[in-house]
This record gives sequence, C-alpha cells and structure tokens, in this order.
Amino acid sequence: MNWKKINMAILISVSSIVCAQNIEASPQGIKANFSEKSILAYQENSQHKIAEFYEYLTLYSNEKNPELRKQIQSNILSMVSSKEIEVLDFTDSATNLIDLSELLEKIKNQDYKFEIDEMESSENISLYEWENSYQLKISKGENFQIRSISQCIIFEPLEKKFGKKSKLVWEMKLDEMFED
Amino acid sequence: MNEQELFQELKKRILESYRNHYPYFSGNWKNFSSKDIRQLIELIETELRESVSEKWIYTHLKPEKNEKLPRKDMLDIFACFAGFSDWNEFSFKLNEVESEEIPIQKVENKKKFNKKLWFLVLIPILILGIYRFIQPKKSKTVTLKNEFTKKPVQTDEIKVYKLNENQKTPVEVVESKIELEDSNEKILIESPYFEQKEVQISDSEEEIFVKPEDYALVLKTFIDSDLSDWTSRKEKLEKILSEDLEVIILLKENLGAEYLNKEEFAQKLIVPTSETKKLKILNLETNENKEITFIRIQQL
Repeated sequence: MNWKKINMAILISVSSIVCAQNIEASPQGIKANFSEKSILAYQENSQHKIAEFYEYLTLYSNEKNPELRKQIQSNILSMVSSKEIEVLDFTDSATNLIDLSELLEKIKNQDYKFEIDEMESSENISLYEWENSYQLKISKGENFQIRSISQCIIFEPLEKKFGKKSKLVWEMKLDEMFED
Repeated sequence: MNEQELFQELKKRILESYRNHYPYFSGNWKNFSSKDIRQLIELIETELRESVSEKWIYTHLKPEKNEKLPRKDMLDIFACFAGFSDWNEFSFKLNEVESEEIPIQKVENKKKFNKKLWFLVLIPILILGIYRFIQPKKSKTVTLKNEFTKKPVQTDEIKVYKLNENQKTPVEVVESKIELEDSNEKILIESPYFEQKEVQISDSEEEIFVKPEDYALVLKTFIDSDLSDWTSRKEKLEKILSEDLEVIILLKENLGAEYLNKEEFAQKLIVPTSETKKLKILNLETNENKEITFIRIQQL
C-alpha cells in the first residue's frame, strides 16, 4: 500500500516537471512571438477592425431587409470574442453596459450612424491583449453624442478550422468596451 | 540554362535545403513522402512566413518532368528557401556560373576552326552591326487589352517584363500602354487577374489581348461592389469557394498575416465595407473541381 502511494507521488512529481518544461519550451504571449514592428502592424490592423465593426453596426441599424440584416449580424458576431461581450448602451447617454446581442436589438431599424475618430492602441501589451481607445460619434437624425471609449483586443493563437484541415494561427477578436 | 532547366536545378536545391533540416532524408522527389511534404510546408511557414499548399508541391515538385513553369511568386518562395533572395537572383547566379564554363569549350573549338572561315563569318556580322548602328532604333507603343471586353486593362492590374536571355527586366506600363525600344522584343505579361502570356512582338503588333483569370476577376468585382446583389454574391461564393479554403491577408509591409476560412472570407465579400475595398488579390489556387482552395491577399 505504502509502495503504491510512493509510486503515485513519484509519478505526479515527474509529470508536473514534464508539464512545466513543456510550457516553458514554447514561448508565450504576443511579445515573445512577434517583433515590435509586427506588433505595431497588428495593432494597426485592430484599428481597421474596429472601424469595420462600426461600419457594420451602422449598416445593421439602417437595414430594413431582415435577411440582409441577419447576414450583417453574423458578420458583426464573427468579429467579437463572444456575442455576450459587454458593450456601451449607445442608445442611452448614461454609462450603461449591456450585452452586444441586446444592443443589436435596441439599434435595429433605428437609423443610428457610428463614426470613429482619434483611435490609438495602448503601448502596454498584456500576454494576449491590448486596448484601443477612440472617440465615437453616435448620430440619430440631427442629434448626436460623442463618447470616449476603450476597447480590449484579444490576439491569441488558436487551432482554426479550414474545412477538413485545421491549423494553429494567431486570431484577433474585439472584446469588451468601457467608457473613459 | 533555360527556365525549365533552372527549375529542375531549383528542385535539387530545395531537397538540399530540406536535408539540412532533416539529415536522415536521403531520397529524391520521387520518394518524398507525405510526411516530408508536411515538414517542408512547416519549414517554409516558420522560416519564411509563407504558405505553400500540399497540392502545389504534388503538382510542381513531385513530378520528374514539368511541362509548365510555376507562378513567379512561388518560384520566389522556393528560391528563398534554397538560399537566394528570389527567383531572379537564382536564375542570374546560375546562368553566371554556366557562362563562366562556356569560354573553355569555345577555346577548344577555336583550334579546330578554320581561320578563313572566321573571316567569312565575321564580315557579314560586321556589316549587319554597322547597318543596325546606322539605322535609327524603332520604338514601339503597344496597348494591353482585355480579350473579353476589348477594353484597355488597368495599369495597376498588370506587370510587364522584357525577356532577354533568361533575364526579366520590368517594363513601365503607362495608361495601359508599354513603350518598347526594339520592335522585335519578347515580353512576359503577369497579373493576378489575367492569364500569364509570353509574346514575341512583331512589327505589326499594336495591341496585345490578355485573357482574364475568371475567378480572380469575379472576386475583385465582389471586393469593389456595394450591398446590392448580395444574395447572388452569396450563391456564387458558395459555388466557387472550396470548403477547405484558406485565405491569407498579408498586412502592410508583410509584417504579419491574418488567416480566414471560407465562412469568414465569404462574409467579407457578401457585405463589403470600406475596409474590404483595401484588399488586393495577389494569387489564388484551385482544385480539380475548379473550386478556389487558396487565396493570398495584400492589405493596402
């Protein structure tokens, strides 16, 4: 019985050492995998993605054809880390956070227009994310409001499917936002 | 060395480079296994940050003989893998080595050659040379047109090279026209939107027609379109894109890349935005069912 316990203890300690070595062997995080110039290029790309996200939101809010609106909705959801991410309630001037799917419901058929300005990416980069901050002009008819927003960008390696094949690639997704 | 011979030499060099990474491999292209192919693809991805499909290797590297020279961008990738900056440097350096060997043969032949015969050969050449020197050079303007629409092609959609003893010299395209110094030059036309074409320019040639690569032009039209006709775009994309499609969008200055699968790429073209319009197709590959399996795109 005692031998069994000793063997188990040895097995656990050996496997924990092996696991620890595996983690150390592959470099982790954005900074360990990309040069400074590459990170800047990916940050610039993340700014284009945010611009595209708001272009889709404008199209979605103005589109009267339900089929096309559904297509635009699926484009929007493919850009974010989850459809439940918290975003600002642009229909309210108070700082309220709501689910993205809830926001989409609120702006549907409401003819909102979203325009971004003064976008920049943070120099501070965490293991797999950074923040982009920007000014967002939200217009409806002649009324508009301008909000200062920060939004998380997740950039991490994941096994992506290309039909029957799959491949480890670095994937970028827009994440939660908050008001500055 | 002609281009085919150069390509065969490149294939040998690729195997040598592969052996540097996998010294236990001692075979040739004939017995290059599917495992070797996967390892070669991985090497190219890690070392050059370029992507090569398994199908491409089967089509162009595995066969003993190649009827057609592969696309230039693929030749560039493998020339890099073999230790050269690109295909042009590879061709230049190999021909340089060959031309250094030629004089030795010529010296041997010279001894056998009758001196009187030399005289007979030299005089007409000299006369011809003087005649050509006196004659003013005929410059020639040629317009490049789409074979289907008969309209001039867009200048930024096409690249033209002058071919001279295996050397490719770029020719400037201005308003769909090229200016050639000699009216008997051989040119090569390359474009992601049109089929590659080699033309020996004749005196009467004032227009060259290039045949559109259907899929590339279809995708370009989709990239530049607006929201209208989104359903027909969706249907067409469903037909022409393979389920296994892999799209690589190269970021500015090739500092990074984004990978899209069929669903993501189709979404982009079904609802195009101002960001979609910044995409330029560099090349694409199709499978035996005429479906697009790979697209390389540059973000402008």
